[in-house]
Amino acid sequence: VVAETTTEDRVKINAVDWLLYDPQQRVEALRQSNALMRTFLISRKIGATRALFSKIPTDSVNLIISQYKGETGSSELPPRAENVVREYFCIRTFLDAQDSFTDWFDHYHQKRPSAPKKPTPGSGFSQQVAFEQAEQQYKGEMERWRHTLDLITKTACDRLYNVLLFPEGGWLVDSALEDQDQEEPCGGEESGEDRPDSPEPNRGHHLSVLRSIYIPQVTSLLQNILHCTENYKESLQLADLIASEQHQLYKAFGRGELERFLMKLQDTSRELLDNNCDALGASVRD
Amino acid sequence: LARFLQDYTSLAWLHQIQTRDFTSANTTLRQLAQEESIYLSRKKTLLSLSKLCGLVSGGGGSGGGETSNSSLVMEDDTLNLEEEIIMYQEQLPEPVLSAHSLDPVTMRVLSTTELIYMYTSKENIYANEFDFKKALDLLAFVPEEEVGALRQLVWVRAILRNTWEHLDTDNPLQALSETLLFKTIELAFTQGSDVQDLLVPVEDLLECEELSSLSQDTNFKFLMHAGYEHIAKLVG
Repeated sequence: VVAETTTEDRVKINAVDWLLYDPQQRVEALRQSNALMRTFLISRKIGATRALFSKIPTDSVNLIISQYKGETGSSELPPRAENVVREYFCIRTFLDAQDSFTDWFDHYHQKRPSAPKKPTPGSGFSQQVAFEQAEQQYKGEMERWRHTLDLITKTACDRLYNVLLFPEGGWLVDSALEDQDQEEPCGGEESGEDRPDSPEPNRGHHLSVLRSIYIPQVTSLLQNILHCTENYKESLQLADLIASEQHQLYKAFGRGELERFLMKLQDTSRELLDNNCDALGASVRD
Repeated sequence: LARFLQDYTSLAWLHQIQTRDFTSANTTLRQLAQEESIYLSRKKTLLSLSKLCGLVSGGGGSGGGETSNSSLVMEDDTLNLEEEIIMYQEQLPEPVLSAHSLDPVTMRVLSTTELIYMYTSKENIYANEFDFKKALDLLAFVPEEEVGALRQLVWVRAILRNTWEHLDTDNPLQALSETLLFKTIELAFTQGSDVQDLLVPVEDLLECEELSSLSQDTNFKFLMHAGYEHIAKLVG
């Protein structure tokens, strides 16, 4: 379910232009944009998120890093700015994954060539020839379709995995430690206006809500692709990914979502059995 | 008939999931995972599925269990231990895998004893203190009667990784800090392990057959005693 962009949203999106005007304010601009995109994403406004995202100049991260480098001489960002940048990348990864899934879905469901109709028995010679030609053509189209599908499938899977496997802690998980943040104010640093100031009170909550909406969603998209493209074994191994303590993705799932996930795995497993494999995809040795 | 029955248990979980009997599915899958010895990957997936079923069936079911955002509680610790053992096997270094011609995708399930041997073996050419620490960690999963001998094995192999003749006896602590043996002890210490518990008494080590030629060496003996004293001070 995707919600529409309202006029009010547009006003908010356009307001970011003012922040983008001065490159010195880029961290702040990014921080505000992230916050706005979070609220969009929570209301499932993917379109609005994308509209805002495309406003942010692509060189922003480099710009921010070089600004800090100019000031402090080190290319390491302070924790809070680091998380702003990290969040920006998380959102980008997510939008890329959404796009690729749409591409895949479109190609798989809409672009599949349709087979020519068989001529009725006893029809004339010319119809027979026409059918054979059409069938030849169909085969060619099918092959091209399949080839493109393979490529698109690969990209889509990679990008969806990128969300699930987002490095260093996971997608939309802040990397800096909380207590580091709390120490900062008493440090008495006067580094000026470009430091993103007060901590954002709702941020932690937003992030965990977003994880609990989109991690199950991304998982289910991935599951769909793998199942439809008959990568059954890989699909079953999603269980490993979701259950692993390393990534702790299962924590983003509610009971209902986990049930749905298991149901789907169970379907996949049945397909494997029909294909002469055991329930987990090893070929049966007889 | 046996074949049929075996197939039956190996498929029962499908039915149990379909009928939303997640508690039974959890048990069935768990049992299958424990019996699995052919493929590590299969054991892992069975275990993962079991864990997920456990999450759905257990914990936090008080009243409004339907609120989908209440995080599900993991109550089963032994399951995480199994997961950990699998991780140890997945992390086996590449040279070890190729020496034993194991393919990471299709390898069989190795026992913890085998894993300890492999982590500390000569085939693990680039072994460092982290590999040896893993071997020590694995001791926790080994049957009790084997622990003593294996623990000794790990330390002996750690000692044999270094040549001891040229170490500087005027600066014993400095010299020791370069050895894999003491790097491993240090790592265990900083990771909060009970070092006294992990160590084998120095006398036992010196009497060990594999170290018999080294034990003749007075430098080696001196360094070992110095090292052990230092550790005793640190820990005590």
